[in-house]
Amino acid sequence: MANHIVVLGGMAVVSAGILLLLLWPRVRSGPRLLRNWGVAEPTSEQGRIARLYLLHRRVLYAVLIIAAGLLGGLSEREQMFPRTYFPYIGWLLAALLLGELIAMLRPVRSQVRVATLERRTIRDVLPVWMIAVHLVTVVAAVAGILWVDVDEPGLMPVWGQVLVVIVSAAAVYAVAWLTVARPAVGDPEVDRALRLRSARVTIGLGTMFAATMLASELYLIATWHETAATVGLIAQLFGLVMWGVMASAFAFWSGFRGQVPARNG
Amino acid sequence: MADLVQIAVEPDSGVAPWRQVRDQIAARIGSGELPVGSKLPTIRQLARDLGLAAGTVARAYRELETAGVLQTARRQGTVVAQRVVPDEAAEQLRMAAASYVTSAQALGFGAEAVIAAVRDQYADQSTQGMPPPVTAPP
Repeated sequence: MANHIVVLGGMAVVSAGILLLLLWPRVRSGPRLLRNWGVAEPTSEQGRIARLYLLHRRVLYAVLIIAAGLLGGLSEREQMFPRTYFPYIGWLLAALLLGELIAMLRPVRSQVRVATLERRTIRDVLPVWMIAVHLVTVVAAVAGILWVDVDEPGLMPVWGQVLVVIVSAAAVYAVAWLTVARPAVGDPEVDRALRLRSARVTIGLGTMFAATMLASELYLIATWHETAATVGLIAQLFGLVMWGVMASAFAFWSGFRGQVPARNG
Repeated sequence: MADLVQIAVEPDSGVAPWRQVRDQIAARIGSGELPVGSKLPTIRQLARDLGLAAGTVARAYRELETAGVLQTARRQGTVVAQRVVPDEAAEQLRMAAASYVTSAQALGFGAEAVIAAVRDQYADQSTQGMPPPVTAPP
């Protein structure tokens, strides 16, 4: 057991180092993010704030992904938890939720505190079509899990899998609420871009998560149910495409109410 | 991007934060930057953005509601009800009154004596045919 933990720990440290190296935001990453989310010509200060935003979240990605790997490894060996299919996207969702929670709780300490006299709502960051697509995917995933109804010893029970999907959906809307409620960062232009990005990337990941859960359930019965494999593949592709659409500048373009995007606009 | 209406609060400026919030919102409404019907942020949102207690922002909103400038309804939230006409003379009068009350308190006089002194002063100046000064110091 002790040797196993040492090996797992060593692998975790090396993996964390590699992940951090790959995810570490470069100087250009901040301005690029801002340009993608509607800030036409970001200043160096705006770029710095955006880079810091990326850094905070990516460190959490690395930590949570490594923790997930460790937990998975231990769980498999010691049979701590019932087996379940939990896509890695789930850990990214958790990292985004944690990132926004930290941003929410970070106290405002500057000498001069500036606020915009504009009421923010979830509709400002998420258009209705994204919410509709996400909810439909979640309902489809829950329906798929209940329909497949595979309850084997050692596997997470059906209700547990349903709970995982519902909790993932709750996390998406918790992040959306936090992005609207957290104190402002930087000037209003940067602040709006970062709020928008957090909410859109999360709902995209949430949709992909639900679609992946649905696909994995369908793959369980693929050997004796021919269409299940095809529908599973379609669901998986749908999730991937939706994530791309929601978390891209295109989504910004089509969903930002009353605003003309700075880029290409 | 449309220009956003902003306010700035300096907690260490010596002016109470609720007063800074109240005065700046009133000024934005007076200048027309916030037209009648504009929705203001919720108390919690503004408090979080400014790093203030919710009660501080609530007091500023309450003062403006009492003055009829803001209106809070359950569904709409807090909206601008009427435009504040900038009145420099009224502001000067308020400041003069504040200064007078502070001096009277330092001399140990209560509210009744202070009001009586103002009435006497008014009566004296009226009998001398002088119009009562609006912005003159007490």
